[in-house]
Amino acid sequence: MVDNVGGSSSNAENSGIREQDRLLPIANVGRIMKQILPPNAKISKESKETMQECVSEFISFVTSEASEKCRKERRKTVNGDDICWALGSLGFDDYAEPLRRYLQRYRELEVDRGNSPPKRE
Amino acid sequence: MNCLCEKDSGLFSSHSTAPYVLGCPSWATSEFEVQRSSMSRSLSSKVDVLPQQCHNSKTFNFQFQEQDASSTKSTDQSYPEVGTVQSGQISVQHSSTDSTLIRNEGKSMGCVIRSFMGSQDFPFPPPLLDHRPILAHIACHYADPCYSGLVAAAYSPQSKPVETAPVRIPLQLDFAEEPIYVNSKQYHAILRRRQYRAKLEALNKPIKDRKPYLHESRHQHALKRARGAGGRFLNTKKQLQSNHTPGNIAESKMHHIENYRDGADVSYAFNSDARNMQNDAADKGGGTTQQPLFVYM
Repeated sequence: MVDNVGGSSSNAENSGIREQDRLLPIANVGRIMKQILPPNAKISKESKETMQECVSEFISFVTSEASEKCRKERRKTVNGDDICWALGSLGFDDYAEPLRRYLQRYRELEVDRGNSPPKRE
Repeated sequence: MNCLCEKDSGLFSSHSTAPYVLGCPSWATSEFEVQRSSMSRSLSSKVDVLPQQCHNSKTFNFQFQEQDASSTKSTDQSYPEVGTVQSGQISVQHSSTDSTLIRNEGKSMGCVIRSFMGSQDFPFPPPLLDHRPILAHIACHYADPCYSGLVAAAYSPQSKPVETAPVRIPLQLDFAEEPIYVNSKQYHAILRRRQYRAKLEALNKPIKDRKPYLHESRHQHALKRARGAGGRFLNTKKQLQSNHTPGNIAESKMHHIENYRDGADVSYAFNSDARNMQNDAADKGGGTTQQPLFVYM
């Protein structure tokens, strides 16, 4: 989403962390929830907000574990391997293994894309 | 909900290795140091929470030693605790292993701290059955109306022991309440996240309620747009038609005034306006906001 273009309104009340920085966009959350449901199902706004809070907290939970590992090893960049390690160390082993395979496949695609000229869509 | 998800995954995950066990004392030491440093930074209202967490980590160390000695798994929901926590631990550990395993399987809401040493006694469920209990948990949690209302509230550690049921409190906040056992791998991460949320709450005290819109300028633009019957925005063709008929002008003005007072329509107006803005940006590749050409006299 593009920010205000030449807008005179200054977000003075957002001196801390804004809501859009703390939470995922609620439309994307609703779209992901809709994928698993039958086509005629409806999702209330309260459900989307609840799921928005849950998934955002889970992301922060896993990321803080990965960030703690990087802090101990005196590294500044949190990469995909750190996220997979964090999932394993927090007990989410069922998720760590599929994500490791996803990460490997993603890197293969990146290598293939690097060889061919990049496409801008 | 996150805590319950963590409990769910804790049931199906393998136990940690020996080096993690050896690292526990250093974790406890670092926890105390972090809490002392964070005490000075947080507000005076937050000081009440942190000493409880100190006590909590001490309790965890005590429980860890007990479990290491007896190597049996203890569950909080299986047995109501009588008297102090210490006697509760003893009564739980003296029970037979079979009854503990049966009750663990029966209560899906329960959470288990596994013994670090040795292998697991009971076999893991087959991989095909792994997803069904997790989905059952999800369905059970979403069916609870109280739970969704509670999660929608702000993240404040102080309000959790008052409003939520004891089952959903991941850690012991007060000595008045019973300690709830969580996945031991997630213990330190939960404490870290709790401190971070306390900092966020101190920073974001003025902004707790959700805003219906993100950008003030777009909101003002949506308020200025012409609306037709029923409160929806008029597009270019309808504006031309409505201008030729004088009777519709008065009617649309009345609806226009009414919709300013209704809050729900404003949020709806913002959503449709956001889509129009995105369409404009996609067509022209960026640029300034365009005011509607047609204005009522």
